[in-house]
Order: sequence, then structure tokens, then C-alpha cells
Amino acid sequence: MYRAVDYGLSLGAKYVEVRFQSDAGRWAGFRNGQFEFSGSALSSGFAVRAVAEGGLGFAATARQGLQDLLAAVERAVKLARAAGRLRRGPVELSEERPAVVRYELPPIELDLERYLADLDSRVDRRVAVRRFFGGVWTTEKRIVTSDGADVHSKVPRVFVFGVLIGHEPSRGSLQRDVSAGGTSARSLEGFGEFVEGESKKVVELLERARPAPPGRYDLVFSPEMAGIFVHESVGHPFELDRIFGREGAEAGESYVRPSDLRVEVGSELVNVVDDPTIPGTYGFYLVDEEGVQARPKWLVRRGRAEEFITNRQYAAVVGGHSNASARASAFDREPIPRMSNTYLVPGDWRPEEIIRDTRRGIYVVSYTEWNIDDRRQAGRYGFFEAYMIENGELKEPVRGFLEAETRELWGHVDAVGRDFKMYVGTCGKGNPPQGVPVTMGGPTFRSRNLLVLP
Amino acid sequence: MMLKLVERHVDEAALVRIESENYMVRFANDEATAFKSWTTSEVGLYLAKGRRVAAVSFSGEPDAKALDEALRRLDKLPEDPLYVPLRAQPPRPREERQEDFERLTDAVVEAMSAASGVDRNAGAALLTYVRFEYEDTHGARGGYAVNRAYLTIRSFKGDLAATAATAARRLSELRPREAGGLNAELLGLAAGLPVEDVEPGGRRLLLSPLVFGHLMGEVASVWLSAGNVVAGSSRYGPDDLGRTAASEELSMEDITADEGSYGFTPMDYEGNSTRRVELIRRGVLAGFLHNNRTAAKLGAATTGHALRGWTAPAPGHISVRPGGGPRDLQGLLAELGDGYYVHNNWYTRYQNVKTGQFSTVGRDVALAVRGGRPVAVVRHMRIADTLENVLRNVSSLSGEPAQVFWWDMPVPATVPFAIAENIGVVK
Repeated sequence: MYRAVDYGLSLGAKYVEVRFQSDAGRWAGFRNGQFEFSGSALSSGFAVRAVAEGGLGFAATARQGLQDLLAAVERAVKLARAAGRLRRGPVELSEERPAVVRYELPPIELDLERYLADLDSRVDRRVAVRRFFGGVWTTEKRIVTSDGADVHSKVPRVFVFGVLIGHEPSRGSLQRDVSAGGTSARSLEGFGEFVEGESKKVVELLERARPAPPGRYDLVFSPEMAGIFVHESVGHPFELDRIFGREGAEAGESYVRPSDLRVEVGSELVNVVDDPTIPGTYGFYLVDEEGVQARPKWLVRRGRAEEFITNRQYAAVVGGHSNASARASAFDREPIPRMSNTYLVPGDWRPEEIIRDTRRGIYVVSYTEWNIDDRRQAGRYGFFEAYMIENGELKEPVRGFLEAETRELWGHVDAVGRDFKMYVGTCGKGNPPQGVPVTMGGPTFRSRNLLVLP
Repeated sequence: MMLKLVERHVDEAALVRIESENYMVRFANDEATAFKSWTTSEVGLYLAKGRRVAAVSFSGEPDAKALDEALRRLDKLPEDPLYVPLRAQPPRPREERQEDFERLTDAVVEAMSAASGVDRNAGAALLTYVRFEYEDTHGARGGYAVNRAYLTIRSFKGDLAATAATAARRLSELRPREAGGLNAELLGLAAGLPVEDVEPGGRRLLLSPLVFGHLMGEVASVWLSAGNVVAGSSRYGPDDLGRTAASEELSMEDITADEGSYGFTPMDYEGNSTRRVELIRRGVLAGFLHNNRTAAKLGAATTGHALRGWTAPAPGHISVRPGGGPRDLQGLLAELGDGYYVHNNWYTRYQNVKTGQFSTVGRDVALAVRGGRPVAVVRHMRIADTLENVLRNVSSLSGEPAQVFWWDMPVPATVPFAIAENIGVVK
């Protein structure tokens, strides 16, 4: 790899980064209690990024001989030069202290087929459609850069996903998606019980939940809701490449504008952190794909933007330093700024106190369908499990949708709980698309006077 | 060689080798953000013993250890209730010469030049050359090598944006000038119009090929793949074939087998020729997409749609037969009369895949149209309805289809503009 880096420099590149990545693991699926598929996969190869004559080039090859790697270096440099001719200003990278480190987590031992069969057996038999998918794999990377980074990591991951659909023609249909994952088998602890409970809720809520009367309510949100909110309306719009338009044609841009980075996002109680270094989490890493050491990032402090999710290129654009957010999902994907483990920082309320303190509201436990516009301003979140709150007490289950603009959602926050939970997801971005493992979560919190529609 | 190694351990095995070369030009703010090239080399092995089945894939070098482990695990796996023996009937091999990727940049520059009057452009152009080879332990062999290319350009003017996409099998068949020009036309129409909020409710919508193709791709992927029919997660069951499922205006096919389609794929992972499939014929549900196992389960013949692996069939490229409506945007707005024009969408999510309750976020310019003329730009608009309502409420189709594909479409599509009645919209 060093030879490849040197070769790139000899071709005139200003920066060369060579990454070997291997993702090796097993996958399986169950459909309504029946075995559906099982397989194993090994995906591995070299990726090369080069900055030359002001442009950025990326080349990847699955063929792993030295000549194949050197040919990829040549392609990356050639493409960088060609890209440079279509730029007004050169691509620059921030100066960083390069990491030289090796870290490794123990492999995950799991009988995947048996585990999925067990999950299926726990589902309430009144649930008409049950599908479970799972994977266990290890990602091994070695990254060598022309400015001195040399990072070797080996991180196993497990991910399990389920779809539960209750369907009775006389009552309608209700779907709940469930997932769990992390970097050890311990991340699945309690998931079987969770699936069992959620499957019972599918049946019960299909029977009992009624549309919420439309109107404005004080909404109390669970940690699951905190997670999807911070991911969609803080994490994504705080990706600095997106703010500067690089994802404009695909994943979109941001309500944060390059001319006004220090925006006010929410009330003083709103603090949001992205931290890849949390042990055991699905979004875990210690050094990013550019050889920069990871650390917690305070995206929002006391309601105001403080830091953005960035790589070295966009750190240079704003005259700062990278905060180690460059991630690539596979050997043939370019590292770009990504979230890791993003959460709303807990406050000092007990969750039950927040509910007791709410006169007319809705407690939203979990969601179904959700989406947001490509500048991350207008979100809509469907309730899977939600209950009316009257004079501090939980009442009947309701269905409905929250429609809220980001600054309204966070600006109306007046109570943040001391509880905390994280949920896993696969975050999509980039072209070609890259799904990377993330977690998202936080505490129970309340936001006043938000619009709910049936 | 690898088949020989595993042959004595299994009842049957198939091997696919997929190699691809990809070149991409990405741009934003009218400048190149990255030029990319990636080559992939994947070997996939399908192993069957008794009714036990496993798949193994290697990217890069074959891994003997992983193969040994897969063979050992094969005996311990549960039986596959849908197992059927391989019966590959490969088409004649076909091979195209690889296109010259250096012309990708020209297409990007041409698209940006045609987007006159806009502030800035972003987008991507991709050229892919795929080589696929199949062989199995029954002696069947086949293969193909094809080019595919697409270009997406999103143009910005102030707070307004417009996206156009063009997809083809050859670079020379891309339409970059038309793509850029379409963005300029749309942003020109929208510039200076007042901005208003969407009026929620059931509305008459004009859907661009990007939006209509996206929604029909969802129908094909989520409901018309026989894998989902077998699992019970599709709206349809086998008995629904022959029943009315959509407006009489609507005839939809999977045209993965058509040489001119961006998604053209002559054969699948099971070594079968991919067939053209009528999915909806004048509103009547006409067929599902099958692989060997779903076909056997539902008493049909495979359609050769094991396109992404051995597990489940999937669409490769869909088409909707055009109607008799106008061919130009101004004429289509006039035909819409009163309603909304939705130019692009993204972030489609389901409340329930079985009922098809979904919402998708309007993206780029959405126009309020009254008296056949655009009167306002609509801020924050979603389509929120069921796939079934969309299918049943198509009232008119434009006269000329467009072949489109971009980052957020589930399947490449060749579809016209569509007018649909009483479709739910929300903020």
C-alpha cells in the first residue's frame, strides 16, 4: 500500500489515500416461519483517492494484485486531473494529525438461522405477515495516506430487521418494522422480548387505536422518536458537504446555508451529539477513512449549531479541521461525511414527570412511515404507537401524523428527560448509494403545540 | 473450475461471474466534485443438496475457506420449502463493445450548457459496462456483456430547483441537451410565480415521468414480484390475476428483456432468458415477475427475473404504454386544467407495504395549475395515498414516453406523463 501511495505521488498527485476494505459475513431470511434464504458473502478490494491538479479522483478495484492496485492509482490520478479541469477552485484538504493505530473487536458468534427462527416463534400468531432478515459480518480496513496515516481496524457487526404486518379485512392493516444491531452479540439482548411485545401491539393497536382528532397538541416523544428526529432534521442537514451543495442532485441540500452556519435550531434545551466512539454501537469507529481520529461532536449546543459533520475537504472549505466523519460503506465507495451515533443529549426530567406535567397532549412511542424534504425542513412522521394525554394521564391509543417544520419541532422543546436509548438504522447517502450503519436516539422529551393530523 | 470443486459435495450448483466497470462524473455548483471509476468482480455460487440451498459470493479473489464453510453449513440449514431444481435455458450469448467513458464529461457539459438562465447545476453521469457469465453442474452456460448510461441534472434558480434525467444503453442515445433544456423551461415557468402552501385533500395531479415512473416502479417491486405474493406482503394474491387492478388507461410491462431498455438484462441468476412480462393489461392484473421457485409455487413459468440473486424475483425495467395526451409540458398543463403538477419526488416510505399506504415528498418545482396555467409554486408537498388509488385513478397519459432513471428511483422506467384523479396530497 505504501508503494501505491508513493506511486500516486510520483504521478504528480498532491494527496493519495489507499484503503483496503473487506466485508465478510453471512445472511439469512425467514418468511412467515419458513426458511427463506441463507448465504455468505465476501466483498473486498482496494480504493484509491487522489487529489491532483485541483481535482479529486477515486478509483477502486476488486482485483488485488500489485499491478491492479497500481493501475487503480493511475486511474485515480488521471481522473483527478480531468476533474480539476472542470473546477473553478482547487480541492484542498485540511491539515490533520494523521493517526497510526490498529484496533480490533472480537468476532461475533451467532447461529443466525436459529436466532431468526426464535424471533419468528415469539411473534403473536395473529400477525399475518412475519419477515425477518439478519446479517453477521466483519469489516476489515487498512488505510494509508500520503500524509502519514496508517490505520488497521477490524470491526464485526450484527444487524437484524423484521417486518410485522397485522391484516384483517374487517379491521384494516398495521405494519411495524423492528431492528437491532451493534458490534457484539450483546446488542441483541432483549430484542426477542421486544419483538414479542411489538407483535402484540400490532394486534392490539389494529383493534383499538383510533384517529387522533386533528389539532395542535403538546407532544411527548419517546427515545425512538428522538432518534429519528435527530437523524433526519439535525444530523443530515449538518453534513457540511450537503450544506455546500455536493449532494444537491441526490440526497439534497440543507436548511443551513453556507452564508449562515451558526443557525439557531431549537430551544436552549436542545443539545445534539454525534459520537462514533461509543463502544458496542452499530455506528462505532475510532478513526475515519481519511486517517483522522474520531471524537464526539456537539452538533447543537443550547439550541444553536456548533459543529458540522465533515471530512477534510469541507473542513478546508470553512477553514477548520476535520472531525473524522469520512466514511465509506464498501471498498468501491468514496468516503464522504456521514453520521455515526447521533443523539439528543439527556436533560433532567424523569420521563413520567413529563407526561404528568402535560395537560392535553399525545405521547408518541414509535413511528411507521416518515419522510422529510431534501433541505430537511418539513418532516412528517406517522405514529405506530401513541396515546392521548389528558391531565397528565395516558388515555386511549391513537393514530395520526405529526407534521412539523424542523425549527418548530426543536424550537418548542421545553422538557428533556434523563432516560436514554439508542436504535439502529442504515443511513443512505452518496452516488453510487452508500448505506452505512448508524444509531440514533436520546431521551424522552416534550415539544409544545405541534400539529397532528389523522 | 470452482464448479468442479463443489460438484461432488452437492446435488447441483450454479456459478455466476459478474464483472463491471463503472465511470461516474459527479458535479455540483457547476463544477466537478469527483470523477470516479470502480471495477467490481464478483463470483456467486448457488449450492443445493436435498432441499437445502445456500448462496456464496466472493468479490475479488475466491475464498476457499468461506466455500468450505458454506459446504459444511449446507447440511445443517433448514430445508427450503420453495426449492425446485435448476432448469436453465440460457439465451444465445451476446456481447457489446465497451463504450468510451471519456465522452461522459461531454454529456455533462452539454446538459449544463442547455440549462440556460439557471443559477447553478448539480448531477451525475454514469457509464456501466457489465459482463455476466452463467454455468451450472447440468452443463448449461450463457452470458452477456452490455453498456448502460444515465445522466441526472438538477438545476437551481434561487430557491427553486428542477431535475431531469435521461437513461440509455449507449452514451450517444442519452439526451443531455433535452435534460438541461427541460430544467430551464420548468424554472422559467416557475420563476416569478407566487409561493403558496399545498391545499391538502384529493387533488388532480399531473405526474412527470420521474414521478409516475417512480410510483409504478414501487408497484412492480413491492406488489408484482411473486416473492412478495408468496410471502403475503403484496396487495395481490394469485387469485387476483385477471381481476381489475387499475384504470383502463393503464397497461404496464416489465421490459427488462428489451434491448433498448436501460435495464436490459438478457438472462438471470438461474440461467433463464429474461422475458417481457405483461403486468397490467388495460387495467387488469395480467402477471407477476417470477424466478424458478416462485413460479413453481404459484403454478406459473419463470419469467427470468432472478435479476438480483437467487432469493427473490425483481423488476429490471418497467414501461407504461403511452396514451393520446399532449406531448409537451404546456399542453399537459392545459389538459390538467386545475390541479398540481408534481415534477419530482423522493423519500418514499410505507405505512404498510401490504395496503400500499405510502407517502412521498415532492421535490423540485411543484406547480399549482388553474385554468390550464401555472399560477403558483407549491411549498412542501407530499403525495400521501395508496398505490392502489394511484393505479385506479390514472385518467390520461401523454403521447410520448421518456426513458428515465436517477438516484431515487426504484427501477428504471420508460413511461409517459400521467394525469391521476383524486390523489391525496398533504403538506
